[in-house]
Amino acid sequence: VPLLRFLLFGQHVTVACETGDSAAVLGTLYGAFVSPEEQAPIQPPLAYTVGRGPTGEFLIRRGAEGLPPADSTGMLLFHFEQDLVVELQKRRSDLYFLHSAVLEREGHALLLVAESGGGKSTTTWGLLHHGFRYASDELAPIDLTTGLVHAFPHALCLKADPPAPYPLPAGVLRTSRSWHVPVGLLPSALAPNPLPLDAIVFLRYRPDIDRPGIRRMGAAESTARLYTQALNPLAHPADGIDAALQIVRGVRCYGLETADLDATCGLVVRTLFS
Amino acid sequence: MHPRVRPDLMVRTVDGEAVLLDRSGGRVHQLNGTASFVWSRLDGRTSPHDVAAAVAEVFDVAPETAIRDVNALLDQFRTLNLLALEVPRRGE
Repeated sequence: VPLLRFLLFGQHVTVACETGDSAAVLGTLYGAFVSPEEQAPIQPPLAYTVGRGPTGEFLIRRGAEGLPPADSTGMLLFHFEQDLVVELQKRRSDLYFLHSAVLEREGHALLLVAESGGGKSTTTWGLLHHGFRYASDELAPIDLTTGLVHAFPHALCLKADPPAPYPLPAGVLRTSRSWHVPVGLLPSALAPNPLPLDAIVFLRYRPDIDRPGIRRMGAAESTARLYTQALNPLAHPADGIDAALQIVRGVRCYGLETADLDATCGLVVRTLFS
Repeated sequence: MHPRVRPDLMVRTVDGEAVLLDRSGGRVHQLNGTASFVWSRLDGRTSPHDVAAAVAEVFDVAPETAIRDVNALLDQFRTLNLLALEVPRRGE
């Protein structure tokens, strides 16, 4: 049985794959987290198994606990990652988990914060062609003591093909739900980890506008919008509102209405680095 | 009636603007500077008329504009369930 070993936020994770296809898929998705065998503890804190049921569905277990069966590779990835992220939040409740993409340039982190479907991954894919390096397209755990942002470089996940001039390379994993670009196929290297935070951009996808727009945001508005994308605020004092305020203070915050991807990327670069 | 903010809301003010966390309503609100000024005076002892007078003085707007804006804002706060139950005071 292939055994995958990952290391995320200091937490060891093993996945025993009873079928080769699940090992290949999960290895593709989480290749950046692979942990050398000698570093793995004897009893890892998070131990998954993935097998097949009588009708071919994927069966995922964490320890003795069963996750919902997955009738496709796309659903396998969905259920596995959803459970993994929740378990990581429980084990690292000291971190402030944000639903956000993370990019790096000049040694600092840029967060792209948006609701699901708000364009985080597509904008991330575009900006990787503009001098940014990849840290995450989904999850941004922040250490409130140091202010550092941790990376979560799973394969970049897109729900559709990005527009020109940013085509996907060959070798992308395509499932019924989404496309996954392994980190080895990204147009730039992985970012160093962890990173000091420099700027937060709140995205709003506006397919009805011709040109993207960006504006500076105040701390109160930024705090409110950041808080809505916090995954574990209640694990922190004052229900996490003070942590959100702490994060936005001292960094540049912008509201970005995204439109044409190329124009959006150009606007972000000019705004942040001109 | 003299409106009063809900005491269970968590409020943080930064750069003159308030952030309200309403756990029971599952919402977070951000008020601009004027709305935050009004919010800070909703203590259950100050009438909307007196709040409007303060707005008119501080923001240099006409009194009739101020009372209209304050009443509109109070309506919004009520719609969003951000105010405590208002009990008529004696004589009101």
